[in-house]
This record gives sequence, C-alpha cells and structure tokens, in this order.
Amino acid sequence: MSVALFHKNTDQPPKKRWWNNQELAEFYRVSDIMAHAGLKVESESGVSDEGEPWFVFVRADTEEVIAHFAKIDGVFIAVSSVTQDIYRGSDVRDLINQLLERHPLMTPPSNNGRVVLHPRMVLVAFVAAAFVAASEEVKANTIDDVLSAALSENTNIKNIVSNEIINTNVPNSYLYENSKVQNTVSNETNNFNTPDHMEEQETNDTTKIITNYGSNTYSDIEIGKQYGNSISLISAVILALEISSRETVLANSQSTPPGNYSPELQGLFMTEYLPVPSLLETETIQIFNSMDINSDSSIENFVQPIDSLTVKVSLSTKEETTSSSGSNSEMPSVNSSLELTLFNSTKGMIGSDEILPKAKLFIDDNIETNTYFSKDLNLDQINLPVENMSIAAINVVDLVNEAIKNVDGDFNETSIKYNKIIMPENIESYFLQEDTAVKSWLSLNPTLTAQPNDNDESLAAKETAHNSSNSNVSSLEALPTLDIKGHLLDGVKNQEIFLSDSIDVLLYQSGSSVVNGFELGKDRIWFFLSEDKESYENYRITEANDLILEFGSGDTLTLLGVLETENSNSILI
Amino acid sequence: MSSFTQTKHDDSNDIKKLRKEAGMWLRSLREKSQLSQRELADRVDVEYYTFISQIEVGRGRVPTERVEIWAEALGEDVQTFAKRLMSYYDPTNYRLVFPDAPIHLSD
Repeated sequence: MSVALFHKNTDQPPKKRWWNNQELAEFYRVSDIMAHAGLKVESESGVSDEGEPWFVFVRADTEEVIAHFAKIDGVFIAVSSVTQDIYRGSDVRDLINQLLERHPLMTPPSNNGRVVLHPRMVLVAFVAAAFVAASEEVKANTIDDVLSAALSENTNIKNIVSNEIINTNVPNSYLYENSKVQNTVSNETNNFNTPDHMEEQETNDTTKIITNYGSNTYSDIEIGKQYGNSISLISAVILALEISSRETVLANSQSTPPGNYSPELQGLFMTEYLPVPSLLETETIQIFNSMDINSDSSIENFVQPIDSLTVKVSLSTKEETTSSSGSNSEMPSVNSSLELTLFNSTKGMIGSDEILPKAKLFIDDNIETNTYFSKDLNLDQINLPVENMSIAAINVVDLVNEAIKNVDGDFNETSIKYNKIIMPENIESYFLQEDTAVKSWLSLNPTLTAQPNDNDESLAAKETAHNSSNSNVSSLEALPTLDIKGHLLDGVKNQEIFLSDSIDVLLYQSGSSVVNGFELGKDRIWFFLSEDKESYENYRITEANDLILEFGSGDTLTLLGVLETENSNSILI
Repeated sequence: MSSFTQTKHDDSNDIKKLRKEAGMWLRSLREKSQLSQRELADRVDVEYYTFISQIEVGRGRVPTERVEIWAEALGEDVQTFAKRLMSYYDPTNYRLVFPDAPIHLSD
C-alpha cells in the first residue's frame, strides 16, 4: 500500500510546496489505468499565485476538466468538476475515507456481490466516475449512479415495452433525465403522434429542449446510440476497475525495491487483468496478493470470515522451482498447494470451534483438461503455477462462498457451484501472443523495453518514468486507446450478438442469449442478477466447444466456440 | 448535430489555443482589478481558489451559468464580457451570431 501522507501543521502556516514524486506517481497511475481502459485523459498541473499546487484530469476528446486536485492551506481537496462535489481531507488517506463513506458502493459490504475496491483504487474510481459523469450520455453524480444506471435504464425499457405504455410522463430516458448542465428534458408534450425520433428545439445558445415520445422512443436510432454509448462508458469504467484490481498486486509490493521484482510478481503484472474481487473483504485481498509474492515462504495462512463460518486457507509453497507446462518452459513456476478448512466460528475463536467437514479443492493444471478448477474431497493437494495464484486464490474463495451458502453438512458435487472458470494455459505465451494491450503498450514505449528478457528492468523503468516526471503536462497519446463496447443482455427477447475485435463487455441481467466471437481473456462477462440469484447454477461444455451457462430460470447464456481458442486463459466474471 | 456536442468536432489544438487565450485575458482582467486568485474565487463563489489558476492557464472554462458573476467580480460589462468569452469558448456559434466581429478579440 502506497499512500502519501500529508500532515497539517496547526502551529505554523502550512508550507507551500509542489506535489512530491509519490503524489505525482499516484496521479499518473490513475491516468495510466484509465488509458488502458480506453478512458483517455490528459493531465495538467500548476501552481496558484500563492504557490499552492493543483492537478487536473481532462477528457482528451472534449477538453473538459473532469477532476481537480489541489492542496490549499495544507488541506488536500478533490473536486469532481462536473458535479462540483468537493472532498477535503488532511491527507490522501483521509480523502479516501471520505470517498468511501460517501460512496457506499465502494465499501465492502457483506456478501452481496457488489463491487469492492481496494482503498488504493478509490482515486481511480473517483476519476473514472468523473469521466463518465462528464459525458453527454451519462450525467450521473457518483460511480454508484453510473453502475446503477444500466439497471435503472433497463428497467425503464422493460416496463415500457412490456406494458406498452404510451405516456409522456414516463421517464423514458435515464440519460437525458439526468442531464443537468446543458440539456433540459421535457416530456411535457401533447403530441402523442409525433414521429418516433427525438425532436430538438433550440431555445437559446446553451439550452436544448429535448422531447421524447412514449415507447416508440426506444426504437429510435438516436436513443439507441445514446443507450449503447452509455453502456460502453459503464463498461469502460468497469474495465478500469478491473485493471485497478490488478494493480493491487503491485500495491502490496512496495517493500520490494524497483528493479527487484520477482519473476512471479512480474508475471502477475503482465498477465491478464485480475477480476474485480467482489465478495471479498479488502483486507483479504491484500493477504491474497501478499501470498502471491511471498513465494519464499513455505506456508502462509489467512482467514476469511464469511457470516458465521470461517474459512481457513493454508498455502504451502514448495521451494523447488519447476518449469511450467506449455511451450514456454522458461517461465518459472512454483508448485503450491491450497488447503481449505471450514470452521464454525459462532461459538468462539478459531481453534476451539467445531470443525466442519473439510472442503479441499483440487486444481488440475493438466492442459489437456478443460476445467481448471474441479473439486475432489479425497484429494489433499492442488498444484498450480504461482503466476496464477492471485486469480486462483480469489476464485477459490468465491467457490467456497458458494459452497457455504448451500451447506447442508456435507460437501458434494452439487453443493459447490462454479463461480469462475479458469482454463489452464501458459500465462507467458498467452499474454505475449494475445494481450494486445500489453504488447502494443510496450511496443509504443521502447524505452521501457530497452532490455529484452529483463522484465524487471522494464517495470522499474516504468516506475521511474512516473516518479521522475518533471513535465507539467502529460498526454497519454503514446498509450493505445482501446475500443470498448458494452452489450447489455437484458432478457427482453432472445438475443444473438456478434462481438468485435474490441474489448467487449457483456452485462448480463436475464434472458437467453447466444454470443458469437467471445474471446477468453479479452472480453468480459459481468452479471447483474436479482438478489436471489448469486450466479449461474450450472455450466456445460458441448462437443462444439460451446460454453453454456445455465440459470435457474431456464435461461442460458451460450458462448459459441469459446473454448476453441488455443490461447484460452480465463473467464473473468 | 446538436450544438452542445459541437465542441467534440472542433480541432483540439484550436480549443486549447483559444482557452489559453481566454485564460490570459481573464488573468489580465484580474490583475487589472488588483485581485488575488483567492479574492476572485471568493467573489465568484468558488470554494477552491486553485480553480482560478486552472482557468487562467487555459484548462477548463468559466461555466456558462457563472459568466455574469465573473463579469461583475472583474468589474466588466456583462454583455461585453460574455461576448468575448463566447469568442473563445464557442467560436462556431460566435461566428454565426456575430459574423462581422473579429474571430479573435485580442487586445
């Protein structure tokens, strides 16, 4: 965890000083993460006439300032420029605490499946939300609003379509309904027969009256564009948060001097993005990732509290280093084993509690098998390459979470539901061949890859580049702008969609859908399910390598031919 | 295409250049009024005075709904002030509304 601390001196006037390198690194890291997620921002910094520093993020496409940070009279402030929400803190930590308090979505609640952020990623979320809030398509106030927009918007659509409402008072566009700055929505019209497209009537230089007409609005192409754009933006934010979670690995590596990153950590950094660790407490996330990089330790234990039950997970890492399976045998891997034991912690401390039947998860790293995770109560150990550990550990706990919710005294095949599916594959060969984001980024930054075969150096160079930047203006034009497309699967009707070369994000809510061209590792699935549904109930793989996720309602989500890709790596949900 | 999305289609460099010009002009007005950035922020009811510095270097813009209070704070005629700001912030519409006026109103 790397958080810059600024202590307000109440005895003397606060010293006016420029951002220090650590603070600038935090800001540039935000830009970096957002750029990788397709949210292209520029930044600029300066000082006031009193010598106090400020730092702003600017949308590269509109030149609109989206977030303003400053230190005024020793107080650290952050402003969402569009909503003008101002947060003040004595230091960054205090600021983050306020953000967490005011935006409950970021706070890890009990297992309700909501997004949980590592504290260090709050600034990323803040700027990403500000980015979306500054969009014409989504005038939301908080990231909570942003993420809930998809569901609220969709609810409106379903209501209108199913009930065939023709009612000018229906809030038929969440997007425009929430426009506050430049758009004024008017549904007050008497013309029910108006054509099914929006009419715009200019009233003055800066204000627009936009009138929508009933259910037909949703067949309108313009609304469709707006709707699709908003989903894409939401998807981009989600992706930014996913990338943020990957950064958690590095957040736990601050004790390691730059340039001395272990091959395992470097592998983690370069591998596919970690999933947003929903269902997990942030403290546990830290421990997970500490495990990842502590390959020197023989045994690491951690405890994950889950309701009245506790899962104790023991990680045993063998000192011997072996070669990974697959074509790239040079990637070091450490065989590790995970053993999960369930305790009933309602009666007292761990150790004196009644021990429930052990749940031991068997992870098969045999590339010939399609299922990475399986479960076998009779097997004591699992083996997996250490570079997969972070993903694996998170998934293991998710699996156990699912099991606990259905526990009836025994663990059996049906009591554990798969929450994640990870395909065995050599990570190194995967990201070199398929992760275009990483590859193109490196190719565009030759100075960071000046020493081939030395990823530690390149990572260190990146850190140095951030920390030593003296430029007041930073443009991330050298970074690739990833095209991100969101697809809302809302169950209004059976849907068949064809994905593109972009990063496609499926936001599944309900219904049966068939998806063509889903690429493992690149594309994403996020579930937005009702409270009584935690995930899909079952999955099966057909002979045609289709993956079919089956829900209790009878709905299915089919990913056609998804397992045919040789470099299949993971499905991050 | 709606005018409120017009800025997306303007050349980014032109926008930057015009906003820097706007910032320099606003700074000159403030200095002529012998106001500090903090004092101007107080007058235009901005809680974080570094926003004035941000505007003066050409990042962001004076919010449309705040133009009047800015003009009053700087002791300028509101219409003249707004017209000139429009030439920087919305040059396309400025040319349409004031076809005979100079595109850049440099002093």
